[in-house]
Amino acid sequence: MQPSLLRTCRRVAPYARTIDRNVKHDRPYTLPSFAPKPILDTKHIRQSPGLYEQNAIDRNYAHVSKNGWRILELHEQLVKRQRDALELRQKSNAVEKGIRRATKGETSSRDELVAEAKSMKTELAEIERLEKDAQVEMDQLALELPNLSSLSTPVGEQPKAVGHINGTEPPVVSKSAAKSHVDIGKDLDLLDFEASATTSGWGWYFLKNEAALLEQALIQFALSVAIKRGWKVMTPPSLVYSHIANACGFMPRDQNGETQIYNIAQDSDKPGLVLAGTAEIPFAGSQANKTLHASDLPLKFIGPSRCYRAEAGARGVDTKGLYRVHEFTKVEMFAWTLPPPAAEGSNRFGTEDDSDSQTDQVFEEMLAIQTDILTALGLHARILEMPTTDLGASATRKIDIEAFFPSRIAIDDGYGEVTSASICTDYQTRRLGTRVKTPPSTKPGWPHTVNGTALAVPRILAAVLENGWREAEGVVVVPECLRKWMPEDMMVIGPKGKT
Amino acid sequence: MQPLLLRTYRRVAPYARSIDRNAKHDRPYTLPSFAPKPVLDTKHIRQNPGLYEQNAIDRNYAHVSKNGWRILELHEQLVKRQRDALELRQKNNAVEKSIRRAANGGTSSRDDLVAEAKSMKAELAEIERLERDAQVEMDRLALELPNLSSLSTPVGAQPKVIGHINGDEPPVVFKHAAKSHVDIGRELDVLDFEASATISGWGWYFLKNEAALLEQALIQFALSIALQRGWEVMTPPSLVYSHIANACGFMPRDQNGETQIYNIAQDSEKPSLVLAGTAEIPFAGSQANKTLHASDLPLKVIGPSRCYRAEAGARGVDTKGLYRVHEFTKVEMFAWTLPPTAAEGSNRFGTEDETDSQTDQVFEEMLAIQTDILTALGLHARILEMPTTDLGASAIRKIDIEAFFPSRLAIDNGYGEVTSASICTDFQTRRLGTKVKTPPSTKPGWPHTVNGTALAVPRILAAVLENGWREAEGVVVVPECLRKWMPEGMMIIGPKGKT
Repeated sequence: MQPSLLRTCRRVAPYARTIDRNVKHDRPYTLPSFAPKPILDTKHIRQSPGLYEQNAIDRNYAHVSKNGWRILELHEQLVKRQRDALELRQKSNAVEKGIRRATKGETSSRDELVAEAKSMKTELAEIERLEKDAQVEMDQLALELPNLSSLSTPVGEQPKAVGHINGTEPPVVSKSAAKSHVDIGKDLDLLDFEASATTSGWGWYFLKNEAALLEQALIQFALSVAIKRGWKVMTPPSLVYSHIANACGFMPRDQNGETQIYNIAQDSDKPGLVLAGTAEIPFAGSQANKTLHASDLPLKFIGPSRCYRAEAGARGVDTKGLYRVHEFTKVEMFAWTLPPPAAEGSNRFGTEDDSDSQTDQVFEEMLAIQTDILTALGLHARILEMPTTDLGASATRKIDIEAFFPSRIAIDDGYGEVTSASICTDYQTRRLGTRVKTPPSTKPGWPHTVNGTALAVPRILAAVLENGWREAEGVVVVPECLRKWMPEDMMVIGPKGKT
Repeated sequence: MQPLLLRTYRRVAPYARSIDRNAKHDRPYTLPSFAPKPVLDTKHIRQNPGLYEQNAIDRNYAHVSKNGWRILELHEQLVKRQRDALELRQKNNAVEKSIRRAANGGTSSRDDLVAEAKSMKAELAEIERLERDAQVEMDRLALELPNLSSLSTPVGAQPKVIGHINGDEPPVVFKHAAKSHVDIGRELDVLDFEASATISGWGWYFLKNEAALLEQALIQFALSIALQRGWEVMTPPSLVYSHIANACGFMPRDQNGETQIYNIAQDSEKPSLVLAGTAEIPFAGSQANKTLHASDLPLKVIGPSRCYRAEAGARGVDTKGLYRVHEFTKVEMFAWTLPPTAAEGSNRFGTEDETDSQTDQVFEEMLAIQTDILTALGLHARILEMPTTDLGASAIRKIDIEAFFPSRLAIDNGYGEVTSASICTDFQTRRLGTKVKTPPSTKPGWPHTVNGTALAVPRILAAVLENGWREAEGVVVVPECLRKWMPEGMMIIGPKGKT
């Protein structure tokens, strides 16, 4: 029988006994003993199986849409078994009494009673085993379900524009001036994709000269915006246990069966390590198995880290240059917030009704920081309320901001995602064992988590190069807000003179 | 027959047919077809087998010390076989002539001749196969040999102190072991090792608050020192092909059989990727299969990257806190230089005799930059000429600088390595196919490579915290040179007030 937290993940098995090189083996994924134990609200699920079914379908998780009904079924079986077990225990006690009374009397009837007691014990053990199995399966089914969706989230595939930054229309750019950052990078000796193809393959890059310096300036600038608002800076590891990544909602394979995560090749007896695709993972994990106090919240961190994404299946036209890469620096915001006061298992949509919930406030603050950064960088952008199919596993609500890339006018009117902000309610904290004490209540609750991109360097760099490009002079204008972090307050990036 | 560039590495085989889980299988390592082809100076080796033997022993590579002699043997066999082949070809030609002349004559003698020609062809094919095998074997043996050692390098295991920074003695105030950066980090809430243990295990860490900000400041400070001297900034990938890492001298297992490199778990048909332990690897690889021009040299780049080291076998007392970690940011210097002018294959020690060789100049410049950085940070340090056993595979000469850590007085008088600088002559360029055109010569030569640490954040951070700690006030003084890159020119790191 498989351990309590056994889950099947599609994953290449490094040490399977018989290998067919062309087949990927599913391998049950066993959590290490020290991993946090997820505690899900299966009660709410079996009380509202239709809600979870519709939600799964809306979010493109149709393959798990029946899980809620199955959990309900299993629960009803479980309740019945528990009643059977109770009856059986009572009968067993009566038989035991009969055995004690019959010690002096006829051995044959005593033997019968002993045999009866023995068979009852066996039956009880079997019932208890079935109870455990049912519990394990219910937990597993519950873990497969994505989070519920907020009332602000459009159902389906269409995002909704909810605002703009730096003007409501993209700036008018002539065709000749709409140079791609790849060409600008070549002209000004800022980007090298050939050298990286030699050292690492597609999806990597060298930043050179002012582009490398801009990366440092962008990091410092993004941090400064959040520090002014009292956020704490924290720089996390990029290598994390795979069970931590999973608990945050990052599966070895996404909804399309694609691998998004790089695994480290390791001996099978060691806990698996992966390269984190976002600092969200180590940040969330930093409070695993911890109990916070309500007075600690909101706990707000921002920090830079090197992020790695396999982006399998993403190769194509939409992946030229810096737009989609395997490795990049990102400054990420992460926060733990007080869940809105509500009785356990009650209305999950309370967050949206109480516009002053701490979760909403911090979410709004993240959006404000993102807006401040993009505004200061002078980039035109649009703000989108993302639809249910875009939320992934952990978010109830997600807002993306797409900046304008002059070279990409033919694709999506030039707009490309540069930031994201998500409310995950208690999806991650329940899986990571992060609790919060909220006096006067004696029972700890589950804090909410909120995460958002402050700045992902490659796309912002590409946008700054393309939007800052001045065709006539052949230079890029450095956004004012970055100049203090560039050598000698650099204002313009020009061509490198050949000496 | 195995392909030309087959090399045997000790390495775990992910898809071997029969697996013993407790045994690590040696698996021949095949280079992908697009990998650079090493071109070594086997002539020099077979002309000086005693030199290479002694050098291998001096450098702790005793297991390959006989390679030079073996190469000489194989070469002599090769020469003999080539002579045999020549004779055989001449005989064959004679027989072919006779066959043509015998076309009109008796069939029996013609048949004899045809049979003779056939058997000669078979013999020739066999000789050619043996020639190729011998060539492959000689290349393989040559690739296993470490670089030769410079005349400045002490033979054996003892480094030689050749200088100091910020005084000849450690600061008097630290006569007794002082507070470790781990404790300082806890008091001032700037380091967290528990959260990182939860999400990643031993050897990781979170930098918090001012420590995270100091990391950014240190990076920008180190870059600024080199920028002032005209170095180009370049930010490289951290994920690279394993054949690139190997070509730089980084073997899957080091001299002690320990794994230093993290491998990415991948399908066996894809070229394998590894996490680079230093930017030296992607920098060197960036010029693979390229031909530079003498006027390009010296080509000097400096850049920050996230580095990953498995540090297997390194766990222990000497690994508390930030002193030995699996993941860190490092600013690295790398340069390609003009080899000293000499006829091909001649005196390799020319570099040391001519003090104005470009290689030496750049090496000295790297040391100057390292000295500038440590001097400005106010850290006392000693400069060491490293001995032959410390050079690894690729370096002919290495100079380490060890800074003083007040908390480590009991270990090595408190000194711990913070930087390294190495001359690799043409070890890496010959393996990466990086050539240089040196007119008026028509035949391209092999540039030299030189590399050095500008700044490795964890140990420098630890040294700054320990040396900047003021016990009476309970604060750390921020080195002056870093203040312009800290928010509001921060001068002091104090305890965090509890609000």
